[in-house]
Amino acid sequence: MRVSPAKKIRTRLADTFELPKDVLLDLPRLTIIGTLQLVVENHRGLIEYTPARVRISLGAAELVVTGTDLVISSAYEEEIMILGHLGSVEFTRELTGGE
Amino acid sequence: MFIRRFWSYLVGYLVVSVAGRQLERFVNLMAASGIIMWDIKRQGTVLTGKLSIGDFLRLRPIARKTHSRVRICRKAGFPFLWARARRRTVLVLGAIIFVSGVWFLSQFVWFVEINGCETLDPNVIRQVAEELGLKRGVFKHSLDLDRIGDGLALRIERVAWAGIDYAGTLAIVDIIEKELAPSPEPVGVRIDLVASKEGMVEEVVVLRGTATVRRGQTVRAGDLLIRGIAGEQLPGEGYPHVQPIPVKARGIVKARIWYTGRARVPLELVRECRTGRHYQRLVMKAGRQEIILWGWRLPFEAYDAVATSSDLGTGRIFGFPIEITKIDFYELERAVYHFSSEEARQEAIRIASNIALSRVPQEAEIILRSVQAVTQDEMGVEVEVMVETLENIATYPP
Repeated sequence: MRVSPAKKIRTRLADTFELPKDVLLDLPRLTIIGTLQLVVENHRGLIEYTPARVRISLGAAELVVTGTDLVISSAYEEEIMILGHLGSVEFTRELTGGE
Repeated sequence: MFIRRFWSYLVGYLVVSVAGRQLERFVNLMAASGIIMWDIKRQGTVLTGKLSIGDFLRLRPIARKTHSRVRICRKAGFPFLWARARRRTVLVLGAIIFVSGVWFLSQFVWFVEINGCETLDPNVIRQVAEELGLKRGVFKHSLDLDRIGDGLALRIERVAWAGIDYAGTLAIVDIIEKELAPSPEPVGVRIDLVASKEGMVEEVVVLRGTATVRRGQTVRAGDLLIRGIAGEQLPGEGYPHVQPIPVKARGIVKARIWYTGRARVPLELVRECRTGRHYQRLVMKAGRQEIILWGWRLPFEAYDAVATSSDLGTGRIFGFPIEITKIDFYELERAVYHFSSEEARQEAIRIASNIALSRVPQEAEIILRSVQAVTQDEMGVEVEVMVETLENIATYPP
């Protein structure tokens, strides 16, 4: 995979100054509270929503959340919050921000 | 989260359902255009969610783009509730009257509870509290609780402090009672210490007053031990310039006290004992007639008889009682016990000691126990045991 020089510098910067990578590298930030709540910040939109499965686009990869009685508690452009009984949270691809 | 919920309730919100095939896209488009929908749930091809009234009007282009149909399921929140309330004025009025009625009634004292009475009668406090204004049906805000509390403490001598608090319509009066100090000893009154029983004085400790007995002296019950006069001038000592004053005498006078116990044990003891053989008889008593139902022939010469009767409930049933008596006979035999004089003496000492000790008070200190006299004849042994104790015999005359 080709890595652009700009991304490389940003990765370095983030590592060196211990800056939050989601800000510098434009990566999603996931907050999971128990199996009750999942907050995805910096997402790219909802792909699929059923009470048993939620797929959220993260740009290069997809986040697949399974569970039961899943509810979209709120949906903003930057942030999506899912409530319910979470079963699994899976990424379809590696997400390093280096692509 | 809570603030958002509360705000949306305040300004009102709509519960809508969205039916279509591109529901995910619908959500994405909403998010992109800044429409906030929350609590989004899905059942098959229908999405339900909540959103504000303003956002609902902006939903139309999105619905058209995604070929979905949007329908309002429910209008919720305060504005809608208010609109409904305005249509039902009487109901709202009734609710307001009810709530304000409850509030109004809660402004009065309906119950008075009195706590903390240990020796005082709560009814007395209740009565005084009523006189001070704290009674059923009085307006709460018209009472000065501190003044009533102080009033209770002032009016009732045994109350050290009284505090009043409201718990709704219940007024709780907390009482702290005064601890009564022991009544002070009378001043200027002479109280002597006298002997409670006969004995020989062993030790005299005077705390207040003047001793009138000495060690080795024999006293009888009621004899003066310590005179209730302080500063008395005794020959060879004392304070000549001090005027003797009457006091309540205090002190300890220990004396030797003797207790005796006497017991006689015969050398030959005849007793009747049950042999273990047993015979039973049943007797029916009807009026004055007695009929032996069972056990005519009594085989024993000497016996113990134990009778147990029962009317079997016939007295109640037939109007006159038929009584059935069960008699248990236990055969007895004479047994003669012979004691040696030594055995008899030991037994007599044991019995006599117990008799003497039973007369000794609990707090007495036993200093000696001795056998005083043994007299023996051909019939038995007689023994006298003496117990010597050391006791404080100083008491106040009754």
